[in-house]
Amino acid sequence: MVLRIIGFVMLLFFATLSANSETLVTDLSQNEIEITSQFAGSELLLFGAIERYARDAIQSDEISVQGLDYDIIVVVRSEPTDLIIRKKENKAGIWVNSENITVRGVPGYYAIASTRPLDDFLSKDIQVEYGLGLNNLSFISEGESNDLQSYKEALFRNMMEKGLYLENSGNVEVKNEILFRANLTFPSNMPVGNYKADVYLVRDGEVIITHNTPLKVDKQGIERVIYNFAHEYPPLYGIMAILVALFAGLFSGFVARKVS
Amino acid sequence: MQIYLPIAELSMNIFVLLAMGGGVGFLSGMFGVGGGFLMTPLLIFSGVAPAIAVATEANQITAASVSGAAAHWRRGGVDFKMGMVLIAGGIIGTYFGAMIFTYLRSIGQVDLMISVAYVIFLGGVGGLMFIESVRSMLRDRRGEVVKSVRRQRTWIDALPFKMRFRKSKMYISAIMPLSIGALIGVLAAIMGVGGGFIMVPAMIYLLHMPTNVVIGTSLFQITFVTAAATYLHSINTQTVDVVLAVILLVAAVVGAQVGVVVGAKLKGEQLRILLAGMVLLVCMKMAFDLVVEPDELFSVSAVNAAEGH
Repeated sequence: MVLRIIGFVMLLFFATLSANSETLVTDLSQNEIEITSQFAGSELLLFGAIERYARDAIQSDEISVQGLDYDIIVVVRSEPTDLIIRKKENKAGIWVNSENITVRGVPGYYAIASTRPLDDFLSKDIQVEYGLGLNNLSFISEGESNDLQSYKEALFRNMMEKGLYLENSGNVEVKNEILFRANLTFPSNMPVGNYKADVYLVRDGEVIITHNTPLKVDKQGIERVIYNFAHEYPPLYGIMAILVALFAGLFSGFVARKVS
Repeated sequence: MQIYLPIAELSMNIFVLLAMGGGVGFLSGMFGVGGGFLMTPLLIFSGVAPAIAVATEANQITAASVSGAAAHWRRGGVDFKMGMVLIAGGIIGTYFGAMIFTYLRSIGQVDLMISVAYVIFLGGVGGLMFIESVRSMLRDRRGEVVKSVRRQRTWIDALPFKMRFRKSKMYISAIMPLSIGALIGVLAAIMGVGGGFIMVPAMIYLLHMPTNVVIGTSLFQITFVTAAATYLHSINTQTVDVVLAVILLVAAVVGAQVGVVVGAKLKGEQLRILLAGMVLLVCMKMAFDLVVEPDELFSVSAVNAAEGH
């Protein structure tokens, strides 16, 4: 029995030593965002802990690591979607939409947060490999344009303006090199669907662990009912809208006559 | 307090919406107009997608005009037969308007069409109203009396398919009211307006209907035509936001009651000049946005929304 326990501890020790010397535990303050009639955007807290017992054990008689040893990157994104980017041109004195391209598989919401600017602790190659940061998002376009770069920049600019794309460095706080937290903000126009919150733990310029937590965003209650009704039964919804209007109009006219 | 609009998919301050509805309701009560031509641009300026603003406004106008239509009906101020002819034309017009709307939405030009339609119609009607009321004010000042001109026979009287309208005491071709109705239908579908500002002058100057049935009949037609527009937009593009429509409607009803009281204290000419000024102001703002280079040349929208699924 005792032998078995010792064996297990040894196994655990070597396993963590050989594979990852750390483990990462993360969670969100909420696993679901509900869009209700009072929804005006949302804030979530992503938090977690780095367990580094194994590494400490080895380093106990070596030089102790000082300062910011780990870096954390948090990426939250919605399901990939297709977007149209349109460009206005001046035609006969007025500004009209002319050229457009369609991009496939870009997130409708994308937020990246980190302890420091990515370039300070991660090489470009690794950023590309893990698709970290807006510039490393896949940008597969349809439609012709000899000016793809400006469309790409315009996409980021537009989405940032709407609060749907966020790039923040320095807003992941690490405490005692163990605990970390990041505040995530979501605007009221966020798309619904299944989101993913990925946490990357970086040491010595290498991503050593990633961990992801799902996040569900959905319309709830009356908002969901109305939206579904409008999209699943358009003719009935149209008739309902007309009846509501007729009733409201006649009723308010009646009340107004009584009052005045 | 924020309220999330399920179809527009954005959250707006409910007090701002109530103030907008109340303000436009006040003006519509004061001037005796529907207010769609003010509300739709206002919604667009405040960030609601133009397609949703237009479709939702059609729904709100149904509510705004039905009680007026009912009141006129009770007083016998509706020419039912004329109304039905106008509605027949209106539904055809709405159908084509909604088709144009859906098509332009799929190629990303619906916003442009809405703006251009507003600039043309508001500019035209506002300009005419302004000139007309300035003239009549000047005439009043000089003490001139307008000579009533005996109505002359025109090409309109020569059109075929004549119908008798007992209430209006007219015997005219059905083609005219049908085409006026159709034009109004197109406008209701693409601009989110009732179209009273076009229909009332058209009934008076083109059809020569007696004034006591003009307003009632036009409200009667507007109720049905905007209902048709609501229905078609719901089917084609799912752009009618009932929550938004109801909020605006409640505030507009209250505002209209106050507006009627204030309007009664002002002179007709003053009212018309004010209204013309306001129409031209909205028109100029829309024209300005079309002509001036926008800060952001690019816009991003979801593919499926643009295709109208």
